Amino acid sequence: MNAKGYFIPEGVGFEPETLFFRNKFGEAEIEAPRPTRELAQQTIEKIELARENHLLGTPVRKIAESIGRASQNLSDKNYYLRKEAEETMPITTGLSPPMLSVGIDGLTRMFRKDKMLEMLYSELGNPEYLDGFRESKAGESRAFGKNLIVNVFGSGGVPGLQVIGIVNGLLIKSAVFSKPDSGEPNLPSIYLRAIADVDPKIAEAAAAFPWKGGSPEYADLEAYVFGGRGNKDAVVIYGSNETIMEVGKKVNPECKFIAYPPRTGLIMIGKEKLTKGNVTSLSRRAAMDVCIYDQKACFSPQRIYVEAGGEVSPEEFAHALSNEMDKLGKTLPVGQLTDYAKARINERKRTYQLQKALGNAEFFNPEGGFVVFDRNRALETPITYRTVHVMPVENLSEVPVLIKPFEGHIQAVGIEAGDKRFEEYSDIFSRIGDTSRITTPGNMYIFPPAIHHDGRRNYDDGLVRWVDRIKK
Amino acid sequence: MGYLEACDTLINEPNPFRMDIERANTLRFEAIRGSFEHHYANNGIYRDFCKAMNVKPDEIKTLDDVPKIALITSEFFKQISAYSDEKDLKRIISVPPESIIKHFTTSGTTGKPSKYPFDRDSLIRLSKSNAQILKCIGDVSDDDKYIFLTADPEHTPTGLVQGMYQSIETNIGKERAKEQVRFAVSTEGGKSHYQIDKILNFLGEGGVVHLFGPPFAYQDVAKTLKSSKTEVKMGEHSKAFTSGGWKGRQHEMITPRELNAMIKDAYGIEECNVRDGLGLTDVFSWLLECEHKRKHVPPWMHVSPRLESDNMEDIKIMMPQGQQGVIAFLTPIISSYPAFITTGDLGLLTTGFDEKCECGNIGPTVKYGGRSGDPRGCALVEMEKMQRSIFDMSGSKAGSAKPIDDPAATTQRGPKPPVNNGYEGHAML
Repeated sequence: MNAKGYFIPEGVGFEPETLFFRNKFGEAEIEAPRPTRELAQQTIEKIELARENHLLGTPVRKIAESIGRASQNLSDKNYYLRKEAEETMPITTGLSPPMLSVGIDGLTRMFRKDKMLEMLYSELGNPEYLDGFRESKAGESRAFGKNLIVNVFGSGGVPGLQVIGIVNGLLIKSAVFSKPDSGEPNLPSIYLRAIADVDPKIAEAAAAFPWKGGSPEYADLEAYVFGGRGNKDAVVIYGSNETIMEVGKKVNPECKFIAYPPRTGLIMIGKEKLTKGNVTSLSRRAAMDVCIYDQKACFSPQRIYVEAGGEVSPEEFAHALSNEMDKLGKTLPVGQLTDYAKARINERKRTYQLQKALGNAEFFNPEGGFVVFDRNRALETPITYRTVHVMPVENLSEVPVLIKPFEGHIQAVGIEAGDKRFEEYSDIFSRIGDTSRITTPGNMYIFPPAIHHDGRRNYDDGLVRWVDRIKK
Repeated sequence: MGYLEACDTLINEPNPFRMDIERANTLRFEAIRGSFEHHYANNGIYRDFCKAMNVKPDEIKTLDDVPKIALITSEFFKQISAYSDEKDLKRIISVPPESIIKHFTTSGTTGKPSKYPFDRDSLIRLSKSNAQILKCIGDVSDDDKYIFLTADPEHTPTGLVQGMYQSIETNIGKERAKEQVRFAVSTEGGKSHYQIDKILNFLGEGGVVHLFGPPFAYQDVAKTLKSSKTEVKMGEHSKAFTSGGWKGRQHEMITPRELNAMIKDAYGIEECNVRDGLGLTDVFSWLLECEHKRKHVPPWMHVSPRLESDNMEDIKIMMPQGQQGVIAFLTPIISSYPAFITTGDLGLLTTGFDEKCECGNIGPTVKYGGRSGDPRGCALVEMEKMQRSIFDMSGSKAGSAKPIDDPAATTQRGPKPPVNNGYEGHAML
């Protein structure tokens, strides 16, 4: 299967090369440009010009409408770009075809016109501030996005994040240059081509091509892309702490630098909800949260804390969870595990086989996953790939103490409890670390564009500049 | 011959690494098979584990069957020390509890100490075995002197320092060790600093002097020497032993080639005499490099790469020589607990069990790959924080040595950015 892993303005020349991918889902040859500083320079100059010549003057509702129509096209499984995505992305991302399909459907729902406008209303008060002066509490105000936003995706493996960066940038009329994860270069290209099919002029203000980040071979390129930005630009990175640090060193200090480090999620379940009548629904919902994107997303729960004393014991819940994960393993199969993950899972299974011999644990092997019921509540490194630890607690009040070693990295918490305790623990967790999302199990992977990702608005941190006018 | 006798025969050979290969492998097999029988018979938890892993002692008939032996995980040791009562620790020993005279502890990556129980005879064998590794592969003589680029064992809780010093003591005796070993780091006044004058004075006394320490210590001292324009030219027989990696100093990490060049430039020690040691935390031993940069497995140990698979049973599948897998270490010299371990780390055999290395020592030899970091997905913050060390007794983080090959299941055949970045054979830390 051949596909394009880049989106570059017309008229910019480049030397093509082919990236080969192979896994259990097949083989793919992804065409990409040979990454050079010259290519980046010409590309960025062109998209900045396109922004000046067209994007800035396009009403924001029109931009949202065009992106919305592109999303709608991509929701059609017969659309050629949807087909390209479904055929190549399981090979590049490692996600199974059904999982990928769910992911793309989620994206296309998220980027409907009404949802994007809802997000802009939430962020700015009135999207039309981006079009010109409009009445505001300061008299009249207008807003400008950065000239250029450079998006860097170091984490990879979870489709959608790259598109969020592109769409959020275009909506505030910034030119957008994306460096996708070199291990997954397709999606930005696919989405931008979908936008170009609907509105080529808007798409001209964006570009994407991959390279292996941090490689000495691309030092000159990175010096330009990161170091050559000014105070009217921004670099936004989603990646590991190490990648963030490395890229941060290269970014011009005058340029706005925004980082989204890795995050984790957890679920906690009160005994009042561990009833025979609720356990099937609860375990099904929790299983979905665990299995989506093979547990690799920032909101994916790696640990589930279950309170004892209910009709259903924590161990019984673990078993029920395993049963539901088994079903999902057949309809929404796990993707390609890396060799590293396989080795870690093997290690983990033997550890818990030994713990089982000591009477400290049980474990279950659902299709495509691994559920541990750990009485010791060991703080083990998550492996993702649907390996989940279920830990019993005597009382939910233990959970904030148990999660202390990693509380600074928690993003999402799923709480299944009675109304009063749901409120109580929402309050407690909203004060802990960087928790930015609280919901119920089964909803951890569903969120509107207006959500405060990592506790921040999309356009906080200076991506939008305001101008106020008072006419006397 | 009983297994302990086989162990002792191997350990007490004048040079175990120059034994006849067939004899070495016969004794290796006897020692490991007997050790497995011992643990299976005397350790109920391990026996239950073996049943779950579908293996019994009577299935181990030849050296080729050794990979079937059930492998405990490093993670398990950390857990029982960190999260269980002392009673769990007692349940995983294979000797009468009253014969345990010492617990070695390692801090590992969770910061909680892992405890390993030792009886007297295991301790004696351990000391002797590590001393033999230093003497035979390190090719040191009893009159040689040492400068540790660290503080003394009393002020350095790290196993690498204590283990190395103990090996020297075992070889030359306590009194001579006091005379022949110096420690370059002073902790007087509560602040650590290198005592360069001490180093220079000791070198000035003549004789063969070897250096020992983690790689960053060599770099630190080299910088100090350079800034003070002090030249050091160590003798042609001097060696630079490195171990412990760049813990806590990963941002300063250089490749092994760069390290070798730096040591030659700063200390006058030739590349063939820069010897890295791969520490094996859970079995309290190490694999030391010969002059050909091959890490030698002592003949009492079985080290082999295993198939990377999420199926538990597949850990029994040994990878062919030259192919990477999860490294498994089995040593029979520890009787108090089953020292048959995987740490989840990767490696491959560069020399087989039936071969000799170019240095003349018998195989096998191992090339270590460290961890193949899985960069996919946002939910990996704890992986960064909690990378495991394999010879970290100070609680520091593991380094980020690159894998030998990129084992990502999504294989990029080309054009491919360079892998390995020159970290071939470097200790993981």
